[in-house]
Amino acid sequence: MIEVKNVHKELGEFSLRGVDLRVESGEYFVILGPTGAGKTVLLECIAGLHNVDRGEVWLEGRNVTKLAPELRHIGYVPQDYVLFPHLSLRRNIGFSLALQRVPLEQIEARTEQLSRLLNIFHLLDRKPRTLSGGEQQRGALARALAPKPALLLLDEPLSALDEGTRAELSVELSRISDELGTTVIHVCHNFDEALQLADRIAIMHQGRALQIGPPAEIFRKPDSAFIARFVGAENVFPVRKVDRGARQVLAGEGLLLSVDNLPDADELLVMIRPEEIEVTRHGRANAAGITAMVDEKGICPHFTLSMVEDRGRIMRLHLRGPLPLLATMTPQAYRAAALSTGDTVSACWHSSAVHVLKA
Amino acid sequence: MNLSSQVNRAFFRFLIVSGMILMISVILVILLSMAFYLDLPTFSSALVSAEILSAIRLTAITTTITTFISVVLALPTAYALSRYKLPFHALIDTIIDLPIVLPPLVAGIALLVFFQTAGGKWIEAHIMPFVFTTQGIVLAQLVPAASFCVRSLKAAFDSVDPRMEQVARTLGCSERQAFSQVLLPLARNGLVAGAIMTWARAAGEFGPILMFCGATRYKTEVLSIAVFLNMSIGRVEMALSVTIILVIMAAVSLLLFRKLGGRGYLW
Repeated sequence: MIEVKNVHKELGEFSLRGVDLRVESGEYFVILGPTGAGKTVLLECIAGLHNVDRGEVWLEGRNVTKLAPELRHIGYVPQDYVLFPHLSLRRNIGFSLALQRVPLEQIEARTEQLSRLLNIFHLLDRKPRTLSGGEQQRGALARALAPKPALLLLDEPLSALDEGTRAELSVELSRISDELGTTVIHVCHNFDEALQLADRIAIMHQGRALQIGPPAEIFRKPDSAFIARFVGAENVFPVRKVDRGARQVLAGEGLLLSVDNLPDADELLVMIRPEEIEVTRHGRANAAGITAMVDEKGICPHFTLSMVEDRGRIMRLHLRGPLPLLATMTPQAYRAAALSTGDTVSACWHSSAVHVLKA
Repeated sequence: MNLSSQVNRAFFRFLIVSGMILMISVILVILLSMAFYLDLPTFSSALVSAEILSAIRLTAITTTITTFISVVLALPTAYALSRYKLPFHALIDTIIDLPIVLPPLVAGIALLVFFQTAGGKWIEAHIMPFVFTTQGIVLAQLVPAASFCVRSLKAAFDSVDPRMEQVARTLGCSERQAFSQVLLPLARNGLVAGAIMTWARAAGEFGPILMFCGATRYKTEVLSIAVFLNMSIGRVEMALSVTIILVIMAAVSLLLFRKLGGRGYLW
């Protein structure tokens, strides 16, 4: 179990301003945030490569804040892999074991096991500069895993890879952490990556951890407008509370929205995920859906489909109306609905799709 | 592109290229005029004369000892400057650079003055005399050479990404192991290149040796002093022959330095 307690570190333009988090053993924990948030600095503090200015780092119940990195038994894979150029891949992977003077046969066996696990067995006698990005990544991973660390730190492991390699390696990372039971802290700035791999996510911004929770929770119920934007929530509007005390808020020009939660704050925003909006023709609510937006007369307002973006895997529909809305549909659903630009449409969603947050 | 901008571009390039050709010509003319002043028989007979052979041997011995001591002093210094966050870093940097930047005579005078102090006198009495001696040559060469060595070794260490050692630490290396297993092998060529340049620099040293050891035939006659002595009694051919030897030594060490991948400019 890893605990970071109120860690402060000043490092030029990247600083940590009081980070608190807890990672359970065996968990796949993702730290997500924009560049400059301090994610790499946090990893380096946990690894012991920096002395923290204030705060503590605890590993498995031991205070390791002042412990040298070589005594922490943590695997670390930096963003640019940093394989030793003067050594072959084989010697790179076996590096930590050779330091511990482990017998040669054992080093060979472990190197073979890891390189087969990561599909780099055929590359063992090559020098790092002759390897591709993906191969170097796997090599660095094998090197970090060789001494069987309890914790593995990954700094943007997939960011520099092409789409195909990224998907492959993503699956392998998941598999490895499951098979070996290693606790993983994975840093990235891509929410889809985090969504796919994480047991829990911490959103970091300007040196602090803002929200920590399972991916679904952050995805659907972000704490703030910043987090909402970061995780791709695009329909975010200011709203006003309704005096009647009912679970409703006022958006735009006199439109009422039913909501499930209502935080206690003066300035509120509402967020509706594009994937949760169902767009249909003729202003008819669909059978199972509940139209959650009504005007004073209790009528579901109409929108005009102003633009459709074909993004290959998803269609993005821009709606003009009482509020500017963005909805997404699968290409198949779009074709089935037979919509086209300029059509008058209805936008419906379930009240649980509406998340209210503080401004 | 219209005519006037074409002309402008051509004129600009002409200025740049002629400047460069002028620079190269100046250097070559100065060096080659020495070579053409002599003929081969004069040069070869000077080369095998007793005086010059002794100067070559003395230079080789003293310079090698100086380089060795320099490297021993410079290695930890260069490592600290390259890898540690030192307090007063700028001040320390400046102090170490001083001997290189000061006029060479100043180093010699400073050594003379030191050996007039109580500490200096004690050393002369109980360890070894240095002023106006053959062994003093090593000291006179050492002052600028050691600083130069720090610069060049630091450049070699700087060329290795410190993240290599950091990653090595996470894999279980102590600081010492990270140095010997990762930094040293990767910096090795640069270190050797730096040592070669230190040797070359020490071999060419003149001012400090003149002030501190004097210019005595055979006794303190390294190659640079040999040039001085022979010029001052009018034996121009001898002086020129030695000068050519020095130029060849400089060129060869520069070549070796580049071959070994020596980076940057150390001077």
